Amino acid sequence: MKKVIYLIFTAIIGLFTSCDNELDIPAQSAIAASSVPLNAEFVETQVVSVYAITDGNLDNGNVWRSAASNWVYGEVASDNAYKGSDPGDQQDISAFERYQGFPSSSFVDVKWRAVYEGISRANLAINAVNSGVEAGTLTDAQAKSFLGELRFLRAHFHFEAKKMWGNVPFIDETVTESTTNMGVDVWSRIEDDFAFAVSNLSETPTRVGGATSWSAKAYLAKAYMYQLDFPSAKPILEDVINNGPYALNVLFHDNFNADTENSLESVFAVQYSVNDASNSSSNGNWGDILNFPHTSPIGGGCCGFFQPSQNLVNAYKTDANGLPLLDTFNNEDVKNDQGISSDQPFTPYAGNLDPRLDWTVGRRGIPFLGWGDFPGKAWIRDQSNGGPYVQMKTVYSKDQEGSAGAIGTWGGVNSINLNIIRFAEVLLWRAEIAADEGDLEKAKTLVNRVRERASNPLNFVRRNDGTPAANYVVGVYSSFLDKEMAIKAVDFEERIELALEGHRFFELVRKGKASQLLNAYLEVESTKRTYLMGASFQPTAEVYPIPQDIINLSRGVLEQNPGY
Amino acid sequence: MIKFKFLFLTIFLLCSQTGFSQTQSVSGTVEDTNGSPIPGANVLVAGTNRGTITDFDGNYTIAVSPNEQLRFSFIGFIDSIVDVENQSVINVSLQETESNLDEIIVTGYSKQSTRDITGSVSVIKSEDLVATSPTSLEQSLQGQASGVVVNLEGGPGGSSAIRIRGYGTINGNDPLFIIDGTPTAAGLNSINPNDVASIQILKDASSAAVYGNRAANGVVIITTKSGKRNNKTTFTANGYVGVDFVPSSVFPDFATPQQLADAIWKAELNTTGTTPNHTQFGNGATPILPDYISPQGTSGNVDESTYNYLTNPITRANKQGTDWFGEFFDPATIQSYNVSASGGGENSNHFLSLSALDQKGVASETSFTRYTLRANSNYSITPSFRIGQNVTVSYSDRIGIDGNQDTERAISSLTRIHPIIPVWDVGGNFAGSGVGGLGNGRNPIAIQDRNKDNHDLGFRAFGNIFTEYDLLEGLTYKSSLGFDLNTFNSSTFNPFHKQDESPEANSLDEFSSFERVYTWFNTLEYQIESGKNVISALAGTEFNKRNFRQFGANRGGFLFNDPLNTRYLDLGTNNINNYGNGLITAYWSVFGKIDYKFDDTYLISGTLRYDSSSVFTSDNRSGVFPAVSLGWRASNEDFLKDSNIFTDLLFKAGYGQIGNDGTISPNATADIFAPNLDFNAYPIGNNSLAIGNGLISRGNPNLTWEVTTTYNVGFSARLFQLFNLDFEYFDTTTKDMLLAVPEDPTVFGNVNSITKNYGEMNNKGFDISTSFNNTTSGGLTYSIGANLSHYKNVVNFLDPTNLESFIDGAAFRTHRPNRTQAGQPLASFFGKKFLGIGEDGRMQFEDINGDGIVNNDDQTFIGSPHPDFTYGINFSAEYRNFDLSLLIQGSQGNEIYNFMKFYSDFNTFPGGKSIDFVTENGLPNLTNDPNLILRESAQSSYFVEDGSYTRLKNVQLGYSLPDSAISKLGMGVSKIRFYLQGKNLVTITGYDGIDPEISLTSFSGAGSNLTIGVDSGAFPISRSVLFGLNVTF
Repeated sequence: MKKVIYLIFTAIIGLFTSCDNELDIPAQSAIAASSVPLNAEFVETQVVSVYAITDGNLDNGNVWRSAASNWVYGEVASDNAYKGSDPGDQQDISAFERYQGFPSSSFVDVKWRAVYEGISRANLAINAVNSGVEAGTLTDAQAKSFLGELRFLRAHFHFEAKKMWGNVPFIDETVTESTTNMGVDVWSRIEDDFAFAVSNLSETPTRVGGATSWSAKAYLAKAYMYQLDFPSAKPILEDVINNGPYALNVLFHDNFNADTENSLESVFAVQYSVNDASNSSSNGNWGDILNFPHTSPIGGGCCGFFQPSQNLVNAYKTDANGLPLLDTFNNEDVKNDQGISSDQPFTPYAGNLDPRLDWTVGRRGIPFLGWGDFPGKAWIRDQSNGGPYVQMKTVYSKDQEGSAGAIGTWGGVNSINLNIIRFAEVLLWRAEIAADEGDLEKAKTLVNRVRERASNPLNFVRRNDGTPAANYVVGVYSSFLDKEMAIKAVDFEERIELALEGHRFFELVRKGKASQLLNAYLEVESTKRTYLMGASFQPTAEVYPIPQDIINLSRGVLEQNPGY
Repeated sequence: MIKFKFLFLTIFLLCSQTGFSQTQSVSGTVEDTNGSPIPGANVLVAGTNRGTITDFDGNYTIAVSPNEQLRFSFIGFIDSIVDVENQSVINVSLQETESNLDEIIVTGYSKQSTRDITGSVSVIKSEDLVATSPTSLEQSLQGQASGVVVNLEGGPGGSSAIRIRGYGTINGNDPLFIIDGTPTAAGLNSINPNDVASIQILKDASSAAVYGNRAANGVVIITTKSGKRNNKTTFTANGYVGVDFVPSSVFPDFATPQQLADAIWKAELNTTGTTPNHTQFGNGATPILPDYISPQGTSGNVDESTYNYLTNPITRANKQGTDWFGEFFDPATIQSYNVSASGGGENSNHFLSLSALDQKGVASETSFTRYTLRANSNYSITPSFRIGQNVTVSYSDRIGIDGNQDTERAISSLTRIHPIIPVWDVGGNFAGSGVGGLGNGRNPIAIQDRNKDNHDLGFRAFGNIFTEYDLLEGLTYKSSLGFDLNTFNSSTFNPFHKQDESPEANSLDEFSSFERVYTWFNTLEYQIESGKNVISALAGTEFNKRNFRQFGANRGGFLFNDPLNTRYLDLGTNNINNYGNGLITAYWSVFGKIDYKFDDTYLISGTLRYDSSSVFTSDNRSGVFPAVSLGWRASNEDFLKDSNIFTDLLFKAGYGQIGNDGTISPNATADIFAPNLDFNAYPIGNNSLAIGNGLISRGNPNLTWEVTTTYNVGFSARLFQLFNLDFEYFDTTTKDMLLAVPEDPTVFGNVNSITKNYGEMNNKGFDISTSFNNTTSGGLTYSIGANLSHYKNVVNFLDPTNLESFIDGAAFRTHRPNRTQAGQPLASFFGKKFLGIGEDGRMQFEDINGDGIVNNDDQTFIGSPHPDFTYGINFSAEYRNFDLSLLIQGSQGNEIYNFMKFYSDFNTFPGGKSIDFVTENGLPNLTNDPNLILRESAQSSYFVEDGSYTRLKNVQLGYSLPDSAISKLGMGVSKIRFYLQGKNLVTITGYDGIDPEISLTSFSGAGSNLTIGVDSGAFPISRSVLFGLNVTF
């Protein structure tokens, strides 16, 4: 009997050691960092993951808050667009529209997280590259190319942060704890990164949509434009325009067409795809998932957000010479179908218009990307709230249903790339500098280069019988009378060329025109959209509130922007 | 320490060698107090391993010496010890254990008399379990034991969560279930309640500590039935049929279509002074309810023959308003059958049981069907060598509610959908809100109808095989190999339809998982009694390994919607997706326990457990956790010995620590990369991707055990032979909680949470239970029991360096009502403080920070989902052939965040609205101003309601046929009983929503305990009326 007991005890003690060893179980269904090979093949996939977050999509859940298109922060919060939809849906956007953004809003929170996720991924990959070089698993040439792309992307994300919040920290690969956002010279760090990219990247991309030395130059120039540092921007823009690979597309709409993406006009764009190997087409443009005409067959009919303002539509009116009404455009409205059911007759506006209107704004009675004439009220979620228009630049055409457009888990997504910088904008920056310098001829030439494309009858929206859908009259400027007119014309051209592409609010702020212009806009527009009544723009709204949750998580290291 | 314990054991072994002297033969009969013989009773010469058992007639014969003692014992009876002296016949009458004060129960790998328990243990007997005709075992625990709160998810086959003495941690709060010795965390829905003999709930660390890892939230020990040896096989058949329903009296009062239309006009007038132009209700001075909502807002004739589902949908307006709640809930049948056989021969016993449950849901197109088979048996190969097995196999088929507590799915849609929408359009297809102007609430009947063939299938095999060997008298070796095999399959088809916002393409989701868990434990148990000393000791080891794997796939583009035989992935043509992953975890433990009792008066119990878990790195994976408890039976002391008041009085105190690996991810110690195609890949064309590897979680190699420490003091008393009273006070602190701590996303990006041993939580409270039983001279036997529990949960801190840090619960639209922060109970409600309606007709909120502006900075803690106390009252009585039982259960002082008011009480989305909204009664003046709507509908104490309730959980009246009638029947029938039962028939509550039993929003997954008490569309607990029959033969 004692033998048995002895045996049992021995067995138990034996088990003790062998069972403890049984607990060494490696990570399942994932790769532990400690077992990652830091070779070019793996680092390549890390670089891809940095590009992957340029769309701002963290989880398919809240993407409109962090949309790469900045439709909330750059357009709804400007004179170009309304929140749209029902009053109750996505209520926080109404606060931004009234310039009353608040720190606890999930919108700024998700945007911050998406932007700094991009920075975090870039830094992680930079550290991987450096470790790979140290370990000898990466060559210097491989490292140079990777680092060029990674620092380009890191600068891109910091640029987003800088224009959103003003007071932001610059996070490089050495930062491991929260750091202050006040008094940081972020611009020069952004310039450093872009400059590094310029000198380390090749002229042609190593991947579809990848950064090049040329896109880095254009982006560097954009950083100077945002600081109104025209002397620094000017030679770079000259170089890009004269020596770079870029040109304007013949067709304006090719910039918003999945089948013609990465064209010569595309300087840097977020790449989208649908019906790829992902779930719910997660790599499509989820940021604009709410922005399809409501109850339409397009994009799941979801959800009627991001409706162009009457003020924007009016900006496309032209005079007998086909020139914009720089000062008087908003005196009279382009006729609309507000309050008119889709089954009631309606004749669209017959006055002169710039055809870019009908590639930018969906309006009653005008052909809508092959989906027939826009039916008006029937495809508007709540006309009495958001007015009679819908946005078009992220809407796919009927013949691309299933190829460029898909239905995700609940809404529609598309694979139309999102332009971060396109060549027309580069031309207009250079025009802006020329106007500022009083170089009226140069300014006129560049503005006209953009207008000439618009005036090409190929860019007229046409009915099935080939007749233009509206009375399109576009002409070029014969001259700018003075510097003031030149500046005004450049600004106006930037607006109507780039409307609804996410730039407008930031453009107004960088040019110092936000307060005067937006208050004037609100005064008139609140008579058309009653919910804007009482709204006003205070200069503190030039930057968005730092998300409260992020301040808390930084344990108070980050500080709130003044006025919030 | 471990070795020390083994040494102890060995010493005890040596002590047990005792000598023999001359013997004589003694025989006799063992009977119960009614004079019925007890077959199979143990007759043992005290202090030796010599013994026998009684035969079929309760007779025994044994050889003993005159100076020895005989110990007579049988489960359910009090042991009797008799001095042999010169007697040759010793007849013994054993007294049945009258109350649970002295039952033999399983408390930790071994058995113990409830009378001697110094920790905190509640015992629930099988008759109390089945008295409520529960469909799940968890349900049967509700209201039965102090300190135990059962949260139920409504609907057939719904989940449930048992919380013992509050919420001990932010992580998993489920207790550990031990079924016939085999641990499981997988829940009890697959267990047939009729198979259970008894349940013990170990509530404090001193009693639960021997189970170690995962026992920190308490242990629920389930012992299933077994046959009795030397007993002929008896059959028991139980069955009931009944009706479940939800009474219309709980449905909220909603505004009519006319009232809603008028409110739109009033809102616009209030806001702009003009009248609106409404898609459906026109643009006149007053709204006009249209005859048709599709075509939009049409009054007059529509040629319904031109109807086409896709291109020309025609929907009449329901001007009276659709009663969506009434349309959705209908009485539903429930039936349950169970047959079992139990018995045993001289060397074996068996229990075999089959059951079937078929429950239709009160909600449209829901159901739950479950079949179980159980086979328990036990064989003595020699008198000292036994083997046996307990196995259950169960199969369940559930069609659940589509999205319980989901603000976009079926139940919430009852509130959200506009009443002017009818259920069907003129073509017999489902109508919906896509007609415009009526919001985006979905047709709940349509949601459920489309879900009606989407089965969730579960198959589980659970049990153990074991062997026991008596090495020496009092020394038993036991080895048990437990297994838990689970498969789950769901197939979810979403047919093409066009009733909501727009046409929705069809799709099929298939999901399968397979889990296998095995647990092997070995124990040595030793018992010795010497004079006034009684010692029992236990030592053991346990190894557990879990392997889980799942995969899913989905496709769209099915040519057909309807025939079920086309709902297979192969027939889908686009959106082809799939995924799969898995995990493996293991733990290894060594434990020991010693119980010492002196003179039946002084008790001490000590436990030590070594736990080692694979979720930690090898440097940090082991922990040693001690526990000790003391008892003092004051009723044995001289000053109380002759007291007429106290039959028994035991004071007890316990202390213990338990380690918990917190159900963290097994990958939590390492940085993890994965090639996620959704968020790390980047397009290289309109339809193609480059693969990216991104960080998907950040690891912390320093993670180690979170430790729960409990102090427990109390007493058990039996007064006047009739009345039991138990009181316990506890104080439990969990330290080093394994929290996913979010770091600054500015530095760490979106993958910023790092699991750390952070945070501390405390629960203090008391449990009281009392029972009284009596038999009157007139033959009425009755008992009354009551229990009351209180706990106070507080988060001491999450981040010791930052007391302001908090964790929010789940988001509901713009609301995140639950916030967990230092100084507050877990998942407290957070928001602005609603003061009332001001003179301007607007809602007033408190300016908490006093800066003159009321905004989101003025949010504060506005309520708690935790009750002040919970209680249960039991009553049962028997008189002649009638029996009656009642159970009242309730919760007092808990609050509910009624999120459905976001839709019904504010001008957020068009759709169903409360009467108060349109009458502006207690609510702000109607407005269309989005800023006012945003401000007033934001999270605030307006949504917080008192969630207290008292519920008549159960009432059952039974009648057993008299023996005279049964004997005429013959066929071996020994008992026939009929009963009529009502469940949840009466509820007293002030809560406005449809049901006050609101608990967790999600019953599984990380963070599920961070969202408590929010009603975002919860399936109500149904009422039932049942008729049942029990037959024994």
